[in-house]
Amino acid sequence: MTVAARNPVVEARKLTKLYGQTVGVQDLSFAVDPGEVFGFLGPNGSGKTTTIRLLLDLIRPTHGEARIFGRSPREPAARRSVGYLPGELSLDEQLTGNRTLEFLDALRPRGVPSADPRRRAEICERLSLTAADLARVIRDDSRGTKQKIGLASALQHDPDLLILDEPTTGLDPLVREAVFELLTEAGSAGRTVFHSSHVLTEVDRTCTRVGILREGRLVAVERVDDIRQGLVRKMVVRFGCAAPVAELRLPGVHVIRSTVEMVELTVAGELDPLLHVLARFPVRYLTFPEPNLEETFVRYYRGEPAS
Amino acid sequence: MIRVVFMRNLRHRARLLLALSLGLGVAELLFIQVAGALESGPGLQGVVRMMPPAIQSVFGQQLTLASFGAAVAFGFQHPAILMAALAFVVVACTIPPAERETGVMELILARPIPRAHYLLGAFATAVVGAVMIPAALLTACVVGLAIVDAPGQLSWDRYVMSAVGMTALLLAFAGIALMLGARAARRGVAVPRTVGLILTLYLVDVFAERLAWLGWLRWASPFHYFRPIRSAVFGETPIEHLIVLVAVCALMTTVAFVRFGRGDTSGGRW
Repeated sequence: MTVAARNPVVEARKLTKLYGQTVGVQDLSFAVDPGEVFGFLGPNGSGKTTTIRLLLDLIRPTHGEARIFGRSPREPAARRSVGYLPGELSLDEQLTGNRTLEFLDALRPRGVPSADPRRRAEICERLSLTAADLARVIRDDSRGTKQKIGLASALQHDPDLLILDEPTTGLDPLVREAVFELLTEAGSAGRTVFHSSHVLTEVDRTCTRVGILREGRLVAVERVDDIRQGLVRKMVVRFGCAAPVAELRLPGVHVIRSTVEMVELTVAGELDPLLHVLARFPVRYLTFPEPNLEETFVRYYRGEPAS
Repeated sequence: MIRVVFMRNLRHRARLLLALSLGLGVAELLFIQVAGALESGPGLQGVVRMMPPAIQSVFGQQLTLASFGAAVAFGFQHPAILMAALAFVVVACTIPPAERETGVMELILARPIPRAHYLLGAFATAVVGAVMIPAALLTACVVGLAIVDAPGQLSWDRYVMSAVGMTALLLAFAGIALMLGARAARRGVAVPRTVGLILTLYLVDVFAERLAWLGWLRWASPFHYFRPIRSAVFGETPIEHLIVLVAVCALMTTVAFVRFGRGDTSGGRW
C-alpha cells in the first residue's frame, strides 16, 4: 500500500475513552508520519494499550476520532497493511507455531498477497525461532517463544504500519537486539512503527519521536533529539592547569564543585560556548556521559517540568 | 476470511458436536431396538394398559400416542435431547466470549476482518451443529428401522420432518445463544444466562401444556413449535411452526450482529 508523503499514517484527534467515571485516555491528539518510528511511552496504566485498541477499532472512542492511513479504523481496509502485537499476547494454545503464523496470515482480504515464506523464515531465524519451536504446540511454549511467534506474525507480511505494544516483554537480550534491528530496518525501509513501551531505553534505541502519556493524557510529543537537547547534562573536566572556574561561568553552565584542577558542572542548551572556553586550556580528562532520558521521563510521569 | 474463522471454530468444537451427535444417534438406535422388542410382545399400548392409573394420569394424553412409530419419534424429544440442546447452546454461546476472554479475538479483529464476518464464522459453526445433531438422529432412524422388523412397513421418511423441526429449533437456540454471547465478556457470564433462559423456556412449555391457566404462555417458548411425535404419527408439521423458529433465529442473530458491531470487543480496560 502506498501512502501519500504528507498524510499521517496514524492520527488521533481529541481521542477520548471513558469507562464510566474512569478515564482510559482523554483528548489525545497526535499524528505519526509515514516512515516514522514513533515511541509511545508511559507507565503501566497510563492508557497506552487503550490508545492502541482505539486505533485498531477493538474498542470505540467516547469522543474524538482515530485515523489509520486516512481512514476510520472501523473500515477493515484501514487495517489491510497493519502488523499488530498486543501487550497481553494470547495465541491459540492448540495450534503449532507454524499453524499460528499461517492462520493469522490467512486472515486477509482477497487481493492481498500472503506472506512470503522466505521472508517469514528469515524473520523467524532472526528472532531465534527454531524449526522445533515452530513445530511445537503453543501451550508447550515458553512465554518468550510465544512472544517471538507473536512478533513474527506481526512482521511476516512486511506491513506498512507496525503497532507493537511492549514488544520485548519476556525476550532475552539477544532477541531484544534482533527486535530493535528489525524495527530500525522497518523505519529505514519507509515503514511506520508505533512502538508502545514503558521502558525508556527501548524507545530511545529505535524511535525518532515520542509521545509521553500520563494518566490517560498526552503530556508531550517531542523528537528524541530535542529532548536530549533540552536536557541539563553533567560534565567533569580535569585540566592540565588550574581550573579556570571564572571563565566557565557562562549562560546555561553551572559549576557544581571545583578543586584545583577539576571542575564538575552542568550544562543546558548549546555546547558551543563552553567548548570554545575549554579549547583555550589544556584538558587532561573529560567525561560527558550520554544524557539520561530516564530522569526526564520520570519527571514527565510525575507531572514535573522536563528540566 | 469467514471460512478461516469458521474452520477454526469448527476445529475447536468438532469433538463436542460429534460426541453429541453420536451419543444421540446411539440412543435413538436403542430406542428403536427397545420399541421393536416391545412391539413384538404386548405392544406399546399393552404396556400403557399395564401402568397404574396414577402414572397414566401423569403422562395424560401423550399416552394415546404410544405406538412403535411414536417411540421412534420420541428419540427426537426425550429428556436427553434437552440436555443435548443445552450442550449445543453452550457451544454456540461461548464462541465469542471464549475468544474475548483469552485475547485471541483481539488478535483476529486487528486483522482486516469485518466484525460481521467474525460473527458469521461463529454463527456458521452453530449452524453446522444444528444440522449435524438432527442428521445423526435421522441416520439412526434409517439404520434402526432397517435392522428392526418394523411393523406396518414403517419408513424412515416419516421422521424427516421431525429432523427438520429439530434443526429449526436448534437454529432458534443458536440465535438466542449468539445474541447472549456476542457481548458477554466471559464464558462464565454467557453460559448461565443462556442455559438459564433455555431451561426457563423448556419449563414454560412443560407447564403451559399441563396447566390450563398458563396455556397462553406456551406461545412464548420455542419448544412449543417443535412436536416431533405428532409430526411422525399424524404427519402434522405446521409450516408456521418452522417459520416461527426460523424467524426467532433470524431476529436473535440480527440482534447479535448489531450488538457485536457496536461497542468494544476487547476485554479489560487498559
